[in-house]
Formats: sequence, structure tokens, C-alpha cells
Amino acid sequence: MLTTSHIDALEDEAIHILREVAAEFQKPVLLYSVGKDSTVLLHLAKKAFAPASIPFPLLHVDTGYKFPEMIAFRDEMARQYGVRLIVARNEMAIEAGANPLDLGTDACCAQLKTQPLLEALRKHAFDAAIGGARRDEEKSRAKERIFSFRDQHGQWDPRNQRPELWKLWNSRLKQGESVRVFPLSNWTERDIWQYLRRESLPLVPLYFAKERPLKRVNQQWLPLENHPLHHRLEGEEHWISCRFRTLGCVPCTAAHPSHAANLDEVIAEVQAATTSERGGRLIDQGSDDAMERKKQAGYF
Amino acid sequence: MRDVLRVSTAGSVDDGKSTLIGRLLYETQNVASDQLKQLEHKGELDLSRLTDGLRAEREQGITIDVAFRYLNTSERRIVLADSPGHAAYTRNMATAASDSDCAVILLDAQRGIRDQSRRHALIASTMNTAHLIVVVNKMDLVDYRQSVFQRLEDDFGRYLASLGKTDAITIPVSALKGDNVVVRGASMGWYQGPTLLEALEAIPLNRDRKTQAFRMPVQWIARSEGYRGISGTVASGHIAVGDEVLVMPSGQGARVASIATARGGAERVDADTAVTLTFDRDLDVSRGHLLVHHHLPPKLTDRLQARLVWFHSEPLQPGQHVWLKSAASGLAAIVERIDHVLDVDSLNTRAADRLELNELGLVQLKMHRAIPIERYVDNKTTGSFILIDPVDNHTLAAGMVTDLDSDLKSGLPPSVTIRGEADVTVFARVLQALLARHSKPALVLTGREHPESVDLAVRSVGVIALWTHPHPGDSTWAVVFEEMDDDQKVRVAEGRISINRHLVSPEEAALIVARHLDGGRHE
Repeated sequence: MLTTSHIDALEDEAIHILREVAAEFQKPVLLYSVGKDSTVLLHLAKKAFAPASIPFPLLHVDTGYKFPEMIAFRDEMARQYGVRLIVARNEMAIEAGANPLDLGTDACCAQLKTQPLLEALRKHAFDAAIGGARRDEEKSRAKERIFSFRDQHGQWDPRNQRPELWKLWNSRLKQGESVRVFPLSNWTERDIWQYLRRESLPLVPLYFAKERPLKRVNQQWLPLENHPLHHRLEGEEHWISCRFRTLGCVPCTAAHPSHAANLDEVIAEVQAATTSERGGRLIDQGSDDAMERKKQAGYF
Repeated sequence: MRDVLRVSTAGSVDDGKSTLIGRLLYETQNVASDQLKQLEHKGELDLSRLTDGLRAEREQGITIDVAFRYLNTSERRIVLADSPGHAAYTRNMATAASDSDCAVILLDAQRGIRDQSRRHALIASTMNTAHLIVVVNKMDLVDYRQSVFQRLEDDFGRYLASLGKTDAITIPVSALKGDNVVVRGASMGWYQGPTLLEALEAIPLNRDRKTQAFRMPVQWIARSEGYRGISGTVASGHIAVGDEVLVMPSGQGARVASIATARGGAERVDADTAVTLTFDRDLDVSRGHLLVHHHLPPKLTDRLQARLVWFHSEPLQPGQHVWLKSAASGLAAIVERIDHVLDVDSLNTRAADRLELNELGLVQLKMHRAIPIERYVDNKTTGSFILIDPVDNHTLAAGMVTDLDSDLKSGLPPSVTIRGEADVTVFARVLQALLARHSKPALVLTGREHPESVDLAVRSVGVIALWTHPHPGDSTWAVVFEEMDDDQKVRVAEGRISINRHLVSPEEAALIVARHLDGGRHE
């Protein structure tokens, strides 16, 4: 059994960080991506400043390829939380038909995501951008700071990161410099799901299983609904019960076959992955390397 | 229950630390299946690869850094702050240790006690890490012999005792084979103590912080229509509705009317809880102020002695101007003197006129104004600070207050400071002078307690008296008075009116004040 008592501590830590950002910077903004982590972040921001309203706006980078459910959910959340929403779009690139199939994903992201993001940060002179990234997401993120310093060009220099001691963050900036702040740094994916359930937070319906038309491309299930270039995808159309684990642009977000149709079922699904790990381990206790290999073979 | 245990680990690539952490994560099912796939090496599971981010970093020439890893056990969430062990990374070790409840110190059963084990223990002790676990690793390489373990436990125990640490747990382990990490194993039947995981799960949390006096740095003022709340995180102690608190440095007092947390309203909350408080009266309070329990406020001082871990490639030199950031304040300061530099490996101190990168030293700091600050051993939150370069904004050092200037600092008129062993008549003259010049002067007295007669007497004529308290570290006062006007609060807060604390005994002080105010009837 996983205990949940640590969730209170994570919640208080995130609130502490959000208050520091609001107090220490001239013009913070919350990077709102509509996903589950953003939902948690927005909810924590509300709690941090209650009963007053959230003292910074939301910034969403809209590539033009977002699921319509995401856009509807985004607008509804901004309304419910009573917070100003800024939408950044690279209209010229969207107009010119930039897409991942022709440009490749890196160039497409650079044009439709990074460029409008940096431009919006510059235009509004935001000096602190709050994001929902977590250290458990990947190995390289394990060393990320909570306050991640960016130079005048918005660049990150891993050699020049500021050490973070106790809860004393160095928030002094020169003109044009900024920070990215990650209040959910110490949360894991399971914490996010447990928190969503505990707080009964709404989620984009795409997170829940439903029959959707998909095509199998490069061993991934790609959604066809709202796919602007679906006619260019090879293969046969299947209707499969599926959900999305992460939400991004329609052409670059693969679906995941699942029957988890509500929060409890999704959490059960997330935990099930661990249960199989645990199950594997039980026959492995006090073992030698051969047993480990056997277990490993069972995994993959 | 707020069950998050923060643990610092330190060590180099070759001491089995990566394997130990990998083993811990793996056997507590905290390795994702896609990560496991990457660990397969020549058909075997190489657990050290879980943490080989550090190795990659080294190859790329990037600053070797602190990595955070998370593990869920059935008992609690454990956050591992993992740093390299070499002397060149002392600052990273300090960073990892700063917010940790526990340090896991690695010894190599085969090679014995090495510098980096001593260094980690020293840093953990300097950072006042509450709990130490010593892991004697690679027991498989010494045939699991109890005699080897016993000798290392004794030798290292003596070193720890020289650091004042006598309650460390020492565990014989083979990270490679897995013995005594999570699973006990059959190879060391002579060992009866806990496995590493059992030890980590048994560590009591935040014991110190919960028993300390209430402290809360003000982070933010929540303003809504007809509402004004004071937001912050309780740094130590607890606070309940109805409690009387003081705002430092103003000395203004009020009672807590309500407590709001992220989980709703509360009657009482403990350390580490993020709260928004309202009070029974309007308080002149803003970010940078410190809320404290009215009985045991910290001292205001503009001069302190602190231990520094220096982070910057440019060495610290006496006279250097810095920006000091503590939990409650940010202000300009100057490093007046370097008292000594500590040799991390020998624990010897030496005089020095500079403090180099990764060195530990003791310095004297003078601040631009008096702030509420405490000794680090008394309170980690109010006793710690960082130094920032005021020009390029680099973080220069981690600081831990070791001593406070015992006097309230003056410098701005009107000021009365009596130094040395002044006698009773001097004190009486000072009091008379104060009363003659100011309608409501302030006094600073010393005493184990404040006799009620004095309290009443001085209150009746409106004198402000601050009683210094001999307390662990002698770093706190009791503020006896209320109903000060703003000007007086400022003067007291800034220490413009002060009398040396060595002036008189409490009994004498009581007598003098009573005599003066009552026209000698108490004689």
C-alpha cells in the first residue's frame, strides 16, 4: 500500500514556492498546458493565495494542433478560476501550414511552441514562468533546480545554475534575465493522480477511455479525429477503447489502449504497472543475479 | 502525519554508492519498467546505472551536481538528495545536506575510512543533520566478517564523536548482493540491527522543529475585500488560534484569530504547514517580517558570527560587500573578518585572509540593519542564510549563524549603550536620563525571568523594557511590554536604545527600576 500522508507535505511545499514567486518577482506567469500537471498547479495557485485571486495570469501556447477538448477545457478553467488567460500563437507559421510531417517534430516544435513562448515572455516582460515539470519525469530532470535561471536570451546553462540551500532561493535578476519555477519538482506521477482524486479536480475527457478512431503508425496508435493530416497516415482505421496519458498536439500524441473510464480506474491502471513490478519482486527476495534476470525477462 | 524524509547521500563512482541507491530504488519497486530495460548490461542487471547521470555529466564536463530521487516505502516518502563525494564538490554536498533530516554516510569495508566519508560526516554535522546512518558497504569483499565491520564501526564512531555525533546507526551492507539494504539476507547472521530501509523508515521526523519556539517568516499578504491575511510557512514550533504572537522587528503583538491551510481551517498547526493567519487587530506587517511566539522572540542583531561554505571560484576576502538573504530578510552586509578556515579532512583550523571555493570558514558579518536571527543550532530556518554577489547575483555561500552580537547595536541617535561592568548608580543615571529626555523610553534588561513588580512598575510609567533571557545560546528576549507607539517600536527594533546586558543582575535591575519609579519605597 502506498500511503498518502506525504501529499500534504508536497502540497504545502508547492504553495510555499508559489508564494515566493509571487512575492519575489515583478511579473510572474503560470505556463498552463491544460494537462493534469497544469491542473494541479492551477489548483495549488488558487489555494496559495485564497481568498484573494491568483496574482498572475496564465499563458497557454496554442500550436493550432491542440485537441478541441483541450481548448474548451482551458477556457472553462480560466473562467472558473477567475484568472486572465494569455494565448500565444505563431500565426504566421500556422498560416504557412507548419506541421510535423513535413518539418519533422523538432523544427515544428521550435516554430509552433518555443518561438511563440519566448516571444510572449519577452512581449509581456515576464520575469518568472511557473511550470509543472517534475524531477521524476526523466533522469536528466533529476538535477533540475526549483528556481531554474535563464539568461537574457532565455537560455539555460547547466554550468551556471544556482545552488539551492534550505528553502532560500536566490531570486535576484538583472534586466532581461528570468527564471523558470517548478513547484511540482518533488512530486511523482502517482502523487499527481492521487492529488487529482483527493481534490476532485476536473480533467480533459481525453484522459479517460472511450472508443476512438485510431491508426497504427510506427507501433503507435495515432488519433484520427481532428488530425489535420489524417489522410496522409498509412494503415487501416480501427475503433479502439483508448485514452491519452499525456496531452499535446493531435499529430504527435499517441493513444494508449485502455478501459479506464474514470479517475479511479485510471489510478488503478497507473498503480497496476507498479503492482506487476512488485509481483515480480516477491519471487525475487534474497535472490542472486540469475533470479533478477529471470524477473527482468518477465517484465519485457 | 506528514511523512516525507529527506536524506543526503554522498560518494564517488567507485565506492558503490550508485549500486546502493540503485538497490534501494529497485527493491522498493521505485524503478519504472522502461528504466529497468536500460539497466541491462551484458545480460545482467547493473543497478549502478540507475544513477549514472553523474558519470555522463563528468564526461560532458558539466558541473557535477545534486540529483534528487524519490522512493515510496510502505511507511513514507523518501527523498534522496545525492551528491558527489570528492573535495571539489563540497559545495554540492552542502547543498544536498542543507534540507536533509538524515545523512547516509558510506564506508568501504575493504578500503576502510576514506576522506570523503569523513567529509560527508563533517558537512552533515555542520549542516546539523539530525540523524546519521553509517553504511559499511562491500561486505561481500571481506567475506562478511564481523571483525572488519566492528573495527570500522569503532574507528568511525570515534571520528563522529569528535563531531559531537554519538547516536549514529551503523549497518553492514553488500549493495551488490543486496544484503541488509532492503532484504536482510543470510550472509551476516551476526548482525541484529535494522536494514538500511528499516533504519530509514524508523527515523522520527522533524523532532527538533516541532519542539522549538514558533517562527514564521512572512511571505505574502493576502488581500481581498474586507480581508487581510498573513501567509507563510510555519518554520518551527506550532501555532493555535488564540496564541499571542509578535511581529519582528517591530515588536507589535496580536492574537491569532484564524488559521487557514490548504486543507481548510485549523485550530492548531505544526511546523512545515503553509498557512494564512488573521489576527484580532490590525498589524503593520509585510514580507520580510518574522512572526514569533511572544515569550521567546529571537534577538535583533546587525552583527553575527557564522560558518560559511564558500561556493564561488573567486575567494572571499575581508571587507567584501555581499547581499544576505535569510528566511525573513534580504539586506546588504559586509564580511568584516575571517576568523579561521577549517581543514575538512583533519578538522584543524588555521588563520586565513581568504576563503576559497569549497572551503569552510568562520567569519564575522556586519549587516546594514538589525534583523531577527538566531543561532543555526537553535533554529535551522532563522539561523541560516545565503550570501549573494550584489553585482552579478551569483550565490556565493551558505551561512550558518554560530553566534550573535550580544549587544543591541546602536549607531543612530538617540542611543545609550553602557559597556563593561557598570554599577547600579550608572544604571540609575541612565534611566533618569532616558526618562528626562523621552516620554516613553525603552530599556533592555537581562534576567532569567521578569519579576512582576518590575513589570508592573515600568509599565505604569510607560517604559518599554526588553528582558534578555539566558536561553540555549542566550539568543532570545522576552518582550514585556505592549502599547508602544510607532516611534518607540522603531527605536527598540533598530536597537537605538540599549543598555549592555552585562550591566546588572535581574534582582538588581528589579530593585533599581522599582526604586526609581516608586521613589525608593522598595528599599
